[in-house]
Amino acid sequence: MTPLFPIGVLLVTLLLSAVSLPQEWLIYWPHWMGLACFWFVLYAPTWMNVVTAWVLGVVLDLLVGTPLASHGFGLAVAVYILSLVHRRVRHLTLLQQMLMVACFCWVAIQASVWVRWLTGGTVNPLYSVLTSLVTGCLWPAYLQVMRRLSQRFA
Amino acid sequence: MFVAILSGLLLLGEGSLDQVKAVRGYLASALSPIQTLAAQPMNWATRQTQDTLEARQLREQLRVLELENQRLQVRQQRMRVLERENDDLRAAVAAATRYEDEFVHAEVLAHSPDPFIKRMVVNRGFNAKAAPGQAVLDPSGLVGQVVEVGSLSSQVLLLTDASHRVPVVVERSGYKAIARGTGHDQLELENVPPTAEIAVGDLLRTSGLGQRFPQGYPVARVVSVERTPGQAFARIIATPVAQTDRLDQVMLVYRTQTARDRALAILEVAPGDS
Repeated sequence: MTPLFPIGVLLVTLLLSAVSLPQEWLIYWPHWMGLACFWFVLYAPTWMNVVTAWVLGVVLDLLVGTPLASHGFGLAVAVYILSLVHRRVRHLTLLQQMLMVACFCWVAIQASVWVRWLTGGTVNPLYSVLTSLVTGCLWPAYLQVMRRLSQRFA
Repeated sequence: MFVAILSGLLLLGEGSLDQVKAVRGYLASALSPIQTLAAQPMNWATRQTQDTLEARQLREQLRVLELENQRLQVRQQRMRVLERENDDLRAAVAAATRYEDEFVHAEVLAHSPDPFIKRMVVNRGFNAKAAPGQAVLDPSGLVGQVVEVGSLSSQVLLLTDASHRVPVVVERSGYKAIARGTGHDQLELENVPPTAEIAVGDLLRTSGLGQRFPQGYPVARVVSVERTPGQAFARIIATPVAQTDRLDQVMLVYRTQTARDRALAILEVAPGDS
């Protein structure tokens, strides 16, 4: 896989993460960075490890304005757990994979939410649940798009 | 484990070291093209809806704006007279002349895509002499303050963010309090005793205490006052007068003199009176 593909995916993911929507829709906006990290752990593990996930999370923090390393910590934890079981997850059915992605996304968001609670932020607890459910539902479509793109460009 | 320690260090560093904040400002300004690009679809959608407004609606808007403009011009004439009168009176009591704040217009590049972070990015960085702590206004009142400055853009923390506090004064009674952002589109007054002179509909203005915000700009209007018997403090909620969530143009306030400079200026004008 050429390095251009992951860099392109990263740029598009950052763009999607920074889309400014009306306030009330933001809670339903998927965790694009989580999706991208999970895809790389499952299908291109040479490009993704805990430290990469942490760095990407910090970049996301810079973009969004959250306390530094809050998203970084969440993504690193989720990617660490997923990388322990990635072979098993890859062979699950699509529905089970969707559930797993939703769970890991919840772990990533909830860990970052805890960090934000520690630093004095207030976050609606529904945020992590709704966002991870939407992210899980998006997984099959994301998988299809990434499969096509990786066959064509990687 | 390593990552957890690294995260902890970064969080602590951000909280206590100014250098980390400065680096964060630089790095965030490197990401501002992405934010600008990502805001385009929404801007385009807004423009489309504005373009499709019917000519009748536009004429109506024009009429309303012309009326408002006339009204403002009339008020401005009165203001000039009052300003001169004020200067004369101040001169009469040998007080220092009040220094005018200067404003620089800025465009909002992006609002934070996180639903629980009330921040936005504006297109003025330290090239335009923006500085952390600078107050940000819109035509109706206070919006927030600059927290991180990059070369071409700055991050503005809105006054509704849960980490934001602003010292305010109740316009009607002169009662002073601290307004805390709730993380939603409201403010809450902290540690106000139930006997304080505050009622629904009161306008809160910046008090100028703490020397961060200039004095006298409208901040919020009180929408509810709950005095529960047995509670030490009243629960007072206010909504900001500025449209903090959907802004696209703001003003950065440049203060020509700080409160300390003003105090020194008074001493210079009337050395014998102090």
